[in-house]
Amino acid sequence: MTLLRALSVSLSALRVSPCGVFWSVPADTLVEYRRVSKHYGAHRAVNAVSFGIRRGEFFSLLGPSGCGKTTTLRLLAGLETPDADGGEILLDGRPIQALPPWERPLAMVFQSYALFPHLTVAQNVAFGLEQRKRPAAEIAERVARALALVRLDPGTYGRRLPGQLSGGQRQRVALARALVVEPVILLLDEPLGALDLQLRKEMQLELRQLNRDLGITFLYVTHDQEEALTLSDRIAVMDHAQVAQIGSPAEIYESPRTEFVARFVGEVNVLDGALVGRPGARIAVRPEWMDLFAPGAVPAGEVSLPGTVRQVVYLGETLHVHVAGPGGQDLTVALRNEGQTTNPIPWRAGDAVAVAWRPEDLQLLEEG
Amino acid sequence: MTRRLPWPLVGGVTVIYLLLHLPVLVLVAFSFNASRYSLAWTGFTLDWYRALAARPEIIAGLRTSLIVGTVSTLVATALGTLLALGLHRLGAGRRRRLVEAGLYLPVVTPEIVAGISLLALFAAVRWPLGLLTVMVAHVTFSVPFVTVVVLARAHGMDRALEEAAMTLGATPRVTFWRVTLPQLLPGIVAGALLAFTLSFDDFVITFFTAGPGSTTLPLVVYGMVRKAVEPTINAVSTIVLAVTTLALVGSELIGRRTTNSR
Amino acid sequence: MTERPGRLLAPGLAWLALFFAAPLLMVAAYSVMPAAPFGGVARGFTLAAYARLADPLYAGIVWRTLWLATVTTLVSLLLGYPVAYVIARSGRWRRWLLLLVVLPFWTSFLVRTYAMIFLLRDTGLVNTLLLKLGLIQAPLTLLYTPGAVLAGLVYGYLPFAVLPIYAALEKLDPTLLEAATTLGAPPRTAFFRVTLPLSMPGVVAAALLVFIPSLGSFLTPDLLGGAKTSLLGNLIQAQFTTARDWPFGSAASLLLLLGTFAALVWHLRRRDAGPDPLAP
Repeated sequence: MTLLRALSVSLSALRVSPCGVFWSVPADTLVEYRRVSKHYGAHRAVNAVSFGIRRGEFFSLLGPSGCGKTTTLRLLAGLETPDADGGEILLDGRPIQALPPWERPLAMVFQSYALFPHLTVAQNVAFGLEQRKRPAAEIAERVARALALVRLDPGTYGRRLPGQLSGGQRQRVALARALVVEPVILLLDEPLGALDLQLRKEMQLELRQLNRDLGITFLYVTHDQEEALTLSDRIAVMDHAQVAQIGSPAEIYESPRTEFVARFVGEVNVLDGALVGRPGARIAVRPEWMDLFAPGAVPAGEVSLPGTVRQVVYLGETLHVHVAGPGGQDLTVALRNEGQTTNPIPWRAGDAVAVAWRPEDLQLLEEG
Repeated sequence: MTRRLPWPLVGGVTVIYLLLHLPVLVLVAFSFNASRYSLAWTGFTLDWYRALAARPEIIAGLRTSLIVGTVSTLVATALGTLLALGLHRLGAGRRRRLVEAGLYLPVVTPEIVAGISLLALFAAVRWPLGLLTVMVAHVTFSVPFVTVVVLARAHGMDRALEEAAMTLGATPRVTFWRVTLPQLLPGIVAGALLAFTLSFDDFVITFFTAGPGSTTLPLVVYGMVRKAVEPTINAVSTIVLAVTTLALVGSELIGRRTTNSR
Repeated sequence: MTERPGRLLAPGLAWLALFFAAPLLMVAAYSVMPAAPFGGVARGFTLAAYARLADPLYAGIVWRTLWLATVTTLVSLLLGYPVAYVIARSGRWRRWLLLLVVLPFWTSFLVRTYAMIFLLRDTGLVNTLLLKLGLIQAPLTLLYTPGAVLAGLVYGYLPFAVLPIYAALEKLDPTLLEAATTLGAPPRTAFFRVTLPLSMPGVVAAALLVFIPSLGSFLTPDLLGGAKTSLLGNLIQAQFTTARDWPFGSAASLLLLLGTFAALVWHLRRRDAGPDPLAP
């Protein structure tokens, strides 16, 4: 008995492998993708993708354009249907891939907001509730509450038309419209893309707060890795129609599985394993895990490579030292800036240095 | 920018503009001229317009044109809107191009050929020429124009609107009536006004498909012109111009309301 | 979203098939059937109608139609290009100038043709003015001449010529002209060697838009041309009214259609064949 328990515990601790083999899911799973595929003509948009989303979590699909993240989201919404043999999508244990969008208990915030131009803000927000045939008094009350939730005064904005609102305001209305129906899961398709930087940062915090306060599960699509790291409980990094890695922001950033994930999220040095005694492999070391020493002065236990400083780039918070390593390999070392006027770093272009890091900071990358 | 244009060019183009509008302006102006035969201006008068009321064939013609115009507009708008929706759903590709080609063939076909071909059809099935045949003809040449206008509007519509409605629980039927149709409405109205204008103004096709008792206003005017030139024709023409210009301006303005509510 | 396009397209396409395509097929069929005594056709198969078309009398009409349509096209292009050019360079007033060009086009063709009659007749405005100014002694016969038909056609279709040329000029990258001037080309040269060639697709489209309706024009030669300037359109009309020779009229119609489609196909081929110099 204990053996079985130990087995199942270690199994659930494993991340879902990218080949899509599915393990038993934790009990609090709300959404499950089981080997879901979608193709358009000859083009594979989503290729046997499998993962689960837990109740209440903020789950992000992260990847470059064309990796399939938006399609994956739309499959859950019902705006696309999986291939005939293209797997199953389960919501609360029930397969829903055959349900039309209007029968699914979810709501979506679109990249272009998709506010109905001919309806007022209040009418927009009320739309979903009207479809659910709620009584008028209830609708009015819930609409007012939803608008207050996104910090838009119902009295002032309720009667305005979308055309009279700013981008940020429209975004909030779109959010209110989706939240008011109390969906089982909220889908967001790059909703902050059109906002300027300052507004985007504000909205990110607000979204995070809403997820926490309301307890609604969020499925969020973005190509901005910083945004994904900021907002998510877990991230699924996608590449070429498949999931490359799933994990918490820390897991994705600090333990990237593949070269793609390592490069896509944050800056990284990818090295040939032969340089550190692991021929045939590729390894990743993040710039901030590396340090510079005079040749021969490397602390015991650290792995090091010799090199020559090419450039020192001042970035304010950090300094990036570009080092030409063995075989011409380009290395970037990030050093904290402790004040170049009071406590400057001793390295200049042309210096011979040793680039070093602790062995546990080395990431062994998988194929693909 | 105009400063860099050589003045002979601007002058010449101004002359062309004048020539383009002169005939009609003269026509309208002289509909108010009291003199019947000469071009000397003898005074402003509305006599010729009053005379129209006393000409039963003109009143009848106007009534017929309005009836034919209204009915054919309604049918053409309905058919054209459905076609536009269908084309829009068709996306891009060979099938779409094929349907579009077939749709626009009536536009490039010379009116006289369209007219006699319909005459041939009606004769072959022994359908006597009358109001109905004229309406059928008018619908046929109006449909492509309505389609173009509504399709343009459909193109400009954000697809996400329909998707948003569906994710909020609206069935396709509800989505169509509450989201799609209101969005398309300015285009539909503009298309309808266009169809009305085309119908009201049409001569050639009507000539071949009208029977006794279904003489539209342009046919009446044609008969008058062939007989003699008289100021009452100017008056009738001015009225026709006014009606169609109003319809067109209305169509433009309503069609413009696309961008306001975005 | 799930409404199949076929069901939406069906009513409209069915209508057009019934009232546009089918009639044309009938006309094609009629053109090879013998004429019935009082109009219409009788059973049988004959190419007599086409043979008649070759008759010098009728061939003359066809030639006159082609000739007039061509001249109309050329004159329209010559007048239309400067107008389009000025509009394209007119900045703020662009919209209004365009509207002023388009407006006449959308108003009743019959009315506009009548306006021409009003101007050109012996006691019309033109003659009256010329007489008053002492430039002529007796009124000129302006009406019922090929010239009147030409004027009527150009007047009618000029807006068709302006719009495509304007569209092409508008898409033109102004920096190309700037490059030409920095390379030493004076404005006239820049126009003939840069602007004009690049606006050619628009010119061709304009030519087509004027040529095709001119070929099939009926009202203008009827009202402005009189019996001596009868065009193909008038010929066809006569066969279906007074002359009651439906097969002949059908054959002439098919000839007209042929000419129209030939021009269209030529244009489409040309457009798809070469690269569009205005494409980004």
